[in-house]
Amino acid sequence: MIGGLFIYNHKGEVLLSRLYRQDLNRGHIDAFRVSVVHSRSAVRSPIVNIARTSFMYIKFNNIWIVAATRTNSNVAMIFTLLNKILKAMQGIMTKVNEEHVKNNFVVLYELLDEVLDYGYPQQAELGALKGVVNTHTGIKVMGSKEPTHVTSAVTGQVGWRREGIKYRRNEIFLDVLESVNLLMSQGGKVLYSHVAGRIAMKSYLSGMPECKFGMNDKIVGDSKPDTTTNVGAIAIDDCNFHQCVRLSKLQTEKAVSFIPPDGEFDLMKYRTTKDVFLPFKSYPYGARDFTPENGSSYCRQVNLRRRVFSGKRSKIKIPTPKNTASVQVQLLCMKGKAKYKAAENAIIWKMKRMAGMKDNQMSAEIELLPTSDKKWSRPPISMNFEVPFSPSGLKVRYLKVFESKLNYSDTDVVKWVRYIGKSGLYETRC
Amino acid sequence: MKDASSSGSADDGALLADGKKLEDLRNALESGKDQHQIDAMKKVIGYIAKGRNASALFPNIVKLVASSQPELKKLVYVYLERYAEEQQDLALLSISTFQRGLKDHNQLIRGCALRVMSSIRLPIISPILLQGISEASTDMSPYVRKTAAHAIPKLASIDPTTRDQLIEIISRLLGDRAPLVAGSAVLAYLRVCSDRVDLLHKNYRKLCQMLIDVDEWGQLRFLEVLTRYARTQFTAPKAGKLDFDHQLLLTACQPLLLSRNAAVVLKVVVTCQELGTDEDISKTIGPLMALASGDRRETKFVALEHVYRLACSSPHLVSPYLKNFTIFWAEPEQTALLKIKILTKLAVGSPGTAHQVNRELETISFWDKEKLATEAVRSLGEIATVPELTQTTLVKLMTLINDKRENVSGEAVVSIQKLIQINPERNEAVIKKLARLFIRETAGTSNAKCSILWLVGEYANLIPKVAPDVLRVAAKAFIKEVDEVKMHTLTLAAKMSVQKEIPEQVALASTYVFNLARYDQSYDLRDRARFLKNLIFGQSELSKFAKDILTAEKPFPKKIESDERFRCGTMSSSLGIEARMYSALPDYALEASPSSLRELPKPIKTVQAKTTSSKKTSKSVSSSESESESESESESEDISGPDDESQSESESDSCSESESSKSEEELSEESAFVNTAITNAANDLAADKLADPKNQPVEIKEDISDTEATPVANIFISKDMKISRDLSPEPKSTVSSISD
Repeated sequence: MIGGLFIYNHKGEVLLSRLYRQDLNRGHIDAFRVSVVHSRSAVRSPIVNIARTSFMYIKFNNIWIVAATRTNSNVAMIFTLLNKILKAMQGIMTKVNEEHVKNNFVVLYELLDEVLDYGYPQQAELGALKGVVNTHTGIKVMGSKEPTHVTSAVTGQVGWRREGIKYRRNEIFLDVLESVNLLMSQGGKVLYSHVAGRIAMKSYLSGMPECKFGMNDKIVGDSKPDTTTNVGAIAIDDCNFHQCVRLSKLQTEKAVSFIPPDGEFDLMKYRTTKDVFLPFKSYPYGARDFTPENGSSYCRQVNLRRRVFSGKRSKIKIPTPKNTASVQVQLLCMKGKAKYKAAENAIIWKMKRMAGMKDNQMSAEIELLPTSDKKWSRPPISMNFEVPFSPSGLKVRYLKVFESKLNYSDTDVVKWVRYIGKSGLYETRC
Repeated sequence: MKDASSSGSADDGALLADGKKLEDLRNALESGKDQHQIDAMKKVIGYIAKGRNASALFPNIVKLVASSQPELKKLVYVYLERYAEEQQDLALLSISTFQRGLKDHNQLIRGCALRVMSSIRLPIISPILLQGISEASTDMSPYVRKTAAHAIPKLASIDPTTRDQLIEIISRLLGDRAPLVAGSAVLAYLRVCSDRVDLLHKNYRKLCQMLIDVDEWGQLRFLEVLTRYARTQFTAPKAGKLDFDHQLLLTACQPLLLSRNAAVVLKVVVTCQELGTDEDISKTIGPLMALASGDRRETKFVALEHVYRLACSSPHLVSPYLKNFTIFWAEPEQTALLKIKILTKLAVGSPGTAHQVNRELETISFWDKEKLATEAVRSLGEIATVPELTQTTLVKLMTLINDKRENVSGEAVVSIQKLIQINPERNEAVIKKLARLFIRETAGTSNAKCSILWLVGEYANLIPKVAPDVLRVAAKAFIKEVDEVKMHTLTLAAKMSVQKEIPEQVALASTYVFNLARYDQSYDLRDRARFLKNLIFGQSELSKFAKDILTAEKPFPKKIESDERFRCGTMSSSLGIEARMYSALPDYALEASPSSLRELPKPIKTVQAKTTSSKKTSKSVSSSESESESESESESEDISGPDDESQSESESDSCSESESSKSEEELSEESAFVNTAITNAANDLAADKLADPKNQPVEIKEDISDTEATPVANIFISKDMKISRDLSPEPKSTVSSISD
């Protein structure tokens, strides 16, 4: 159970405090500020124990959301709860920052009142909270609900969608969002890679449409593993679905079928570790025999291998030794721009666009100051990029919409599919 | 809203004690106009949220509790919860309003009244509160019953004398069939009377089956209670054989692994570790790894802690996922440190992975992150204690002792010292090398120096030429060193002096050290010097054995594993210290309690007995299925009679229509179920239910905002029915017929 919840700004001022138990007081609020918010050391565990009181916190946009307790409790529960509170705040205030928190004292206070009762979590789902805590009036005025709502709930099947939704244009947006994580050794061997993806959907459909969704994975795509159509199929390590997906049909018919909620939601989250398509590979070449003491120059080359697709907004960070005096960057293929940033101790190589199937090379000559400093530890080359395809290889095969009562068919629905692959932690050791 | 609060935040500087401000607020509250009152209340709440004292307004606000405006009422409730304890006499004025609220026809108001009344913590009202809870626990709305369950721990903390009556109410609520209520009832049980196992016997099977239906927080409490129950009632699994009811719990928590709530998944992982066999644990590893490589820093941290514990207890299960623990440069240090710890445990536990782990740790030991590098070196040292790996790792560590980062080289020396102890004769060269390091004064940290001095002293006979030199250097630097190093220098001097034929220089250096230590500032050191001097040069009986005492063979230091003291996933285990209210996991029972305890008293005896037996053998699943179905239906009618019947009478026509059409739908679906593979369907339904733990509360919250109570209650009933339907085709459960 939670004794109290506090929200601090980055200066450590308390924006909001809600105490659930008598065993906490303002002294504890100060204790956290002094020893965590104001502390200089960069390494902090997300759980801190100060004088027998445990504080758990998450940070978001310079805002600290902190739960404090003096008793033994489930750590994972409290972190999940904090994240849910953050999510609820995002839903209620559009933007979570200091000013918005200050402007929404009342709503937030009521929110915390709903989420926890005497320190026990009871309700943290945004949808439900919105019913009780209203953004504009503080609370919802009771008794002004259309009767249709009740009937849809009575059927017991689709609590997440109300009846009687109408759109002039029926549209569906599907976003396949993935982030690729890669760790490569200096020899170009992949040490570890995985893709964390989600399928985000925005639905603007009338009535109670039944949707069917197909993709090229081994669980859902084909029931028989030996057929030839299964060639492009990918193996998903694990996934979970939005509550609207009928898991019974997933098992029996191998189809993802669901009645979507109105608006935005995450249909599915998944993770793959096998056969990850790596959009970039960077190979560092460096003069290995340099010694930092003698102030010699050091030549650094990075080859970037690009596969098939073109990408945009790539940014590559190539660390340099701390005693770098100057860097002369020569880009061999004249792609993009590279600059030495002394503050970051790195060369930043940016490319707006890049054609597929090409190798790009950058080489830099680095002049070093004589130093007695320790040996340079060679931080890895890291990359940021965005590519218009899914690195896991996941593809949406179809999305069909059936609405029996209203007169529109699958072909009338405008569907959009978009693939975005982003870099998560993408490092090449060198 | 915006205006009100922004003006509230604008006058941050003004204290509430400021007379004029206070007067303004007071006037607004007394104005009798709803909008003014609401605005004023919002300002007041704003002050509270910032931590100001707004208790001066109590008399003005307590009056508003009787307001008919729900928005205002809610704000007043919030205020009362905060200040009622301070101003008990005045707060009593509000009680009659709450009592009236408890009789309101709107379930939201009933629930709210009870919640606020239990939150204001006035010991005087405990009889009223007790009565309120007692009445609410039989309320027809599950929401109100749930509130009653939530109020129980609060009342128990205000007035402990009510415990007996409360336990009675808890035992009633535990039997409740609405998942919404059950989650909170279990909470009350946990907080008030977790020692009363007898209350659970009859409900155990029902709770197991309800597990997937309750909301996510409820699931956590369910698992906690059920784990404790299972540990105290069942015997430890022997050769994979489990009690039937024991297995039931493990089967029931499997589908929760698909939950979106990380806390639930982790709790299932822990439950399987505490109750299950290796097979059960291995099923949980996939989801655990997904969380451990997730993107939320905090969840990842907690998940990795779980992995670490698992790696300690059964490394063979984790080792296939070795790659997941490669460490990224940009990773937060906390998780990186945990990963190193996991890798170490894996290497020690399953030596097949050691090569890979060693390489990874070696890479990290070169990194520019001192904490990580030091930890990596320490881990290398730990891995090297495995006999097969000692020599290869030792070579790696030797390369690190010349590292320029003091902490790293120091750590390497400390690790090596421990390793040499295993086999000193073979490692003579290493000792010499370390000694040379000391002589050149390049041994980094004081820890490293201590280690070297100790080594040299211990194995001085192996390196007769180098040892005196070390003593010379140490004696020279004596006054500049910290206490620990001085202490070790002293010990070295003592050990050298008891050797057989000592050169004159050694004797001189020893005397020098002894003399210095005798006049040192530290009394520990002076004390030790006096003791050693008497022991070695004294005339007592003991002095004859000085050599044996000082050069006795020292056992290899054992690492004390303190990590496994606490249950995984609790605060105590994260912090490594015992938090308040920590309760250890009970041991398995030596003798299992009879399963008849967990069977319900049977209303229709003959039929029931048949069903159970036929199901236990599970020969004719489908036939027993249909039986149990019919039975559960009849039973649900029986039991829920008083509640539901009164409901349906008060229902409007349209509602009962929809109700009947719905049950038709259900029936047709039912037959379909029986036809298709029952096992699958049941599992899916279970999973289906689970995937939307949010779903139920969502509905409820929306529903309760209706003024009309009746249609809402209707929904709940139909929900209950649906649930009982979902549960009935559960494949392995003999209990499904009993569950209702």
